[in-house]
Amino acid sequence: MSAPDRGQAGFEEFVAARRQALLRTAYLLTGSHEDAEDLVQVALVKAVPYWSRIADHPEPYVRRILARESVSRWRRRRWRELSTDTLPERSAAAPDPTDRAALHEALARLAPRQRAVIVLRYFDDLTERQTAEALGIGVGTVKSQTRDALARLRGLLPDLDEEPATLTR
Amino acid sequence: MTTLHDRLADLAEEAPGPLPAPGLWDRGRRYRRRRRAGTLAVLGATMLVLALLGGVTWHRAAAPLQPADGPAELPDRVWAPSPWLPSTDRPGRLVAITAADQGSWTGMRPSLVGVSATTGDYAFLDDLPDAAPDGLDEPVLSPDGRHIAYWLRGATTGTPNSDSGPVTGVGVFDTGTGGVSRHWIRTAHGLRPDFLSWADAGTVVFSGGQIRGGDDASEMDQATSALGTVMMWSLGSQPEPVPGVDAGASLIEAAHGRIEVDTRSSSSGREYRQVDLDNPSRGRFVSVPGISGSFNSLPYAAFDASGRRVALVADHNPNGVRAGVVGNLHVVPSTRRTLSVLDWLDDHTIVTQRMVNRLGLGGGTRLSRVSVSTGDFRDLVRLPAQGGGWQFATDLLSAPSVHADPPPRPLDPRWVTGLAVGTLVAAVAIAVLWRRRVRP
Repeated sequence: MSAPDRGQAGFEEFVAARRQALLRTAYLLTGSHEDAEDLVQVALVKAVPYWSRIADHPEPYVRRILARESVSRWRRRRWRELSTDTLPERSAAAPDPTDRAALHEALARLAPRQRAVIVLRYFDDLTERQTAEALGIGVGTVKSQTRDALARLRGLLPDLDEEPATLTR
Repeated sequence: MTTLHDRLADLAEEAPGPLPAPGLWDRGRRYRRRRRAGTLAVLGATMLVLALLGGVTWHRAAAPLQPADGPAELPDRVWAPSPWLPSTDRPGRLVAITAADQGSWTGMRPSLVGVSATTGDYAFLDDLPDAAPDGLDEPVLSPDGRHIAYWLRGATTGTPNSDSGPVTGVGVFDTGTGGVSRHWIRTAHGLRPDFLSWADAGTVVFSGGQIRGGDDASEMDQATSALGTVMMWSLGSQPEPVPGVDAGASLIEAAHGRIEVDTRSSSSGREYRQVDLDNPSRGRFVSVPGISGSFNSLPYAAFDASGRRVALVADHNPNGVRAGVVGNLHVVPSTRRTLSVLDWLDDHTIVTQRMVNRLGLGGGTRLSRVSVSTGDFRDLVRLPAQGGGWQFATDLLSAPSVHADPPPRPLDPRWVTGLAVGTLVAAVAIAVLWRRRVRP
């Protein structure tokens, strides 16, 4: 097998193994099925030019593209799209629609970088430094964005106040 | 109780299942090609712009002026020099010099441009060593174009008169070697230059009065000076006073190894003392009838090699030329726009500087050889309408006239650098933007 073929095979193995996990993060970042699918595809495609360099450990790089792309595409869309009071569609199959809907709505009301910080810190369990590297911002910014985002979430989700240990991690 | 992590994980369960997405690898390869193509296009355009800029800069650049062998020639035209000409400290024999602004990274400053007598090239003369501040007195080109005399600035024995330099001596710059001969004059506060000129290719004559007060003296003392002794300096020897010439004498002309100084006026004209510097004790008086002039507006006269013929522009300027044997001057026909007489080429021909049109606007001036008997003239050198005054090596006014092309006009290096940096910055910005914006 030639070197390009080996690269392609490794890429496709990674996609097969990690795409669902990436989609879960992407869904939290976007709040939309279509956007999550598109975001993951874009992140994977953008990783291809660098695959030879990241093949041994591709996930951090792909997740970095995922996070940055979610923020930047929101900024691009801000100028093209009108805001709406109607939230994106939700799955009718959710087991606890009330809790999920509230969190879904609360995340949608966060600024894109705040949302990304929350998802990376509290879903992907990245450290502050890893989050900063993934988003290309400073650790101090991560801290302030996290603080602001959690304050916002507390206002939107009063029951989060019952989880101080989690919130101050 | 559920944590934020648990609730996010629960919400993430709503994430869609992976749809079939064949060809991600191929899309990635195409994305890479598009990014690379865009980057290469920007790089190519940048190289093209920089090459164009470099080409124009190279095309307009001037070669450094260096001493060159060959016969001296008189250009048929001189041009206002570009501020961005190269500079040199060893220009070789010069046919002309002019004051001009020299460009630098921080702005313009007054400087001196020389025109090579052998190549016709132009260059700024590197700052003449120890030269007094500009504006006090212009450096003076020798008749053969091989030396430049200028006033020196240096240390005084007392409080210096800073506004005037202070001037403390005379220097002679050798255009062939770049060396400088200096004659320092002991002075308490500085000298006030009266005149500085060349009597011949190897003799400088000068006079400067001792200023009465330095910076700490009264305004009156700072503004007044003693009468200066008229000195002659044969290169290679020590300067000495010119015998028989009073201190403070006004120089009418220095040429052909002689000086003429103004002595007195009479109802019939003016009387000059003519001193042959080879034998200064044998001075003689010459009377030039029919001209007047106050102390402040003496008409400068051009005597021929014998000292018996004189040509001058009298009374006002421009005006017609009067020329002839001393004591018997006549108005030279068709010379009413003449500004000055530079020299005699032979017994019948003078060189004048004349205006092209009546107001001297637009067309500049010309050096012309003029027949003193008929007024017939032939232009030797065309001078630019703009820029400073020009001095010519008078020995070369009879040199073969050659067609002179305009000197190079190098681009302002600040613009070139700015354009190059701007191009690079723009290229990097466009490339980064392209690589970010191009969609997979």
